[in-house]
Amino acid sequence: MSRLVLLVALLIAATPSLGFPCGNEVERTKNEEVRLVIKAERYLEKGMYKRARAVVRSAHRNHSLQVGLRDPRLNRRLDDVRALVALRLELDRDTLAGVVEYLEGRSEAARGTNPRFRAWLAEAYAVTGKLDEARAIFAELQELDLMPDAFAYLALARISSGSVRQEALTLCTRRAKAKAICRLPADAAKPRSLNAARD
Amino acid sequence: MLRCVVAVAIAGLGCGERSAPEPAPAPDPIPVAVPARVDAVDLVTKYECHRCHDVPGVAAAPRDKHCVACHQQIHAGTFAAEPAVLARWQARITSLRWAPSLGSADRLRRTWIRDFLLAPHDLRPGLVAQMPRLSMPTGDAARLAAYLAPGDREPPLAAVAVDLVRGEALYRGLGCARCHRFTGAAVDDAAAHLAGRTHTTPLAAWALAPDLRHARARMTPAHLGAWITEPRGAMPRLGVTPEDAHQLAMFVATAPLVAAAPRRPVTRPPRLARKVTWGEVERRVFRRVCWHCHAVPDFARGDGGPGTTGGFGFPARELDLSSYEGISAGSLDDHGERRSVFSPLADGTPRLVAHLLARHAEQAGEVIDGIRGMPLGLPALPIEDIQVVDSWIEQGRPQ
Repeated sequence: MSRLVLLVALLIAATPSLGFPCGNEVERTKNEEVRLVIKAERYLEKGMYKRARAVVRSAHRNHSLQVGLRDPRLNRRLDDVRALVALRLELDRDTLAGVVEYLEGRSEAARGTNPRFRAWLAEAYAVTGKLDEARAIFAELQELDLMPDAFAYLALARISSGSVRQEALTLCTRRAKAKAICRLPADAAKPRSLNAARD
Repeated sequence: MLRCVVAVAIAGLGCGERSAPEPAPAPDPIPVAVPARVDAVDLVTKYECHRCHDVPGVAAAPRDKHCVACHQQIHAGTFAAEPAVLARWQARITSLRWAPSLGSADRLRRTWIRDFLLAPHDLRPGLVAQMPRLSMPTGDAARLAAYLAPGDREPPLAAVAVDLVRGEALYRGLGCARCHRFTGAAVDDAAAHLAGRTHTTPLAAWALAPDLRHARARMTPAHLGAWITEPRGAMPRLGVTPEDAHQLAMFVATAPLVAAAPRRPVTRPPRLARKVTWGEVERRVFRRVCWHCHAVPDFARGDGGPGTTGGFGFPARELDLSSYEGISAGSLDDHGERRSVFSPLADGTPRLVAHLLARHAEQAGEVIDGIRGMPLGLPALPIEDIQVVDSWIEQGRPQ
């Protein structure tokens, strides 16, 4: 037994460890959990929300743990994708309320240092009728030139009018991976309120 | 490899100007006999010297933090990656394959070590990377210098008359130029140095050989002679007598040097009229160089690299250059507040571009306060690449 233990120890010692962040590229190609998250985020980036949602659901189906992926950091990213999909598909009122609460927590946990969470929160406010709160966040991010992506500009366009809306749509198109996402819904002039009846 | 060749060629071209020889450095003001050894293991840990260097009294960094070990594994083919990926990396990775051992730093002048830590310069033409400019106060640099060079081991100077003719003959006869540049000296031979890369084994000996222009500042003649007699590390034994070692050392320490031609200052290039997209800047710059230190922590088990999650004494800047959204999210300033990397400085240059241009300035010997040259410790980006990044920013950072 002691020889076996020694052999295993030697094998472990001889195996080169993965360097980080040297292992960036290796992690992205070989780590299944990382690949899953990147896949979901790429669908989201392209506006393919239902496919992104399917990837997130598969992560929970294929892993025995209730919480999904083994790495809590990657799990959080999948939760982010799930929240944003719900937001951008404009699911039911209760779900959107949950998304707002989730993103408020996310933004607070980041202590406002990561503008992505702030922009997502503003997007959620824009969809759910908290327009003043949304405008305040977007104004702050624009002032600091920290608008993270095209979706932030799309959300800003949604709650704006005239030249401001046009400028926001132009910037959305410039910064979007898939230009098709930069289209306002037909009822863009009427943001959904959490208190409004839903048909 | 190509960058190394270009670097060597440029270094060679820069030494043709005739001007007054540089004076020998003043004697080291710190007395040779020091009352006690200085402990600076805390500083070695803080600045993570052991991620590249062997440091006396300090264990090497874990393998997943050791830059040189990682690159050596890649070139040895033992890194855990697909063979095709390894082959691609082996062709592209030229930097950080070796780093000098600090175990033999005790031969160096303490003041030189301190000054070098505060304002590093290119010392070894055979290495692509150089000592990075860290955020290090003078007191830390002095303590590290005292730790590495206790100064309690000054070898005796040989009691023979100096014969510089003999010294030069030894330099030429022993083929020192095969490994060493000696920029500014009449014996400097760039072509021999370049050819030496192919014929020197191990290659580390060639790569780690310093430009002897700096020898007189780095060491006393006595230490230089002792080193020639009994070298450590990659320097091969020359089999010379102590007397010949002394003559060779005195030649290296006193040979007339012409001043290096000043490098032309690099100015911000004009922006391009053609469209530049994120795909191009990512391919040419960020994914090629930057993301190694500025990555997504979540995808690298929490370690986004020194430029993101902190390292080498730098605080976490949370600057993710691996994606469009990452770079758009900016970085943390000295007060922990998030700021855009695209914000213009006083002269209108975007902050990110200013850092890239500052590396050119550092290579020319100029340190710009508040703007650290990037990429850290690596050759400055070609001006054309900086121009592409600058143009992309000016065009509104299109995807």
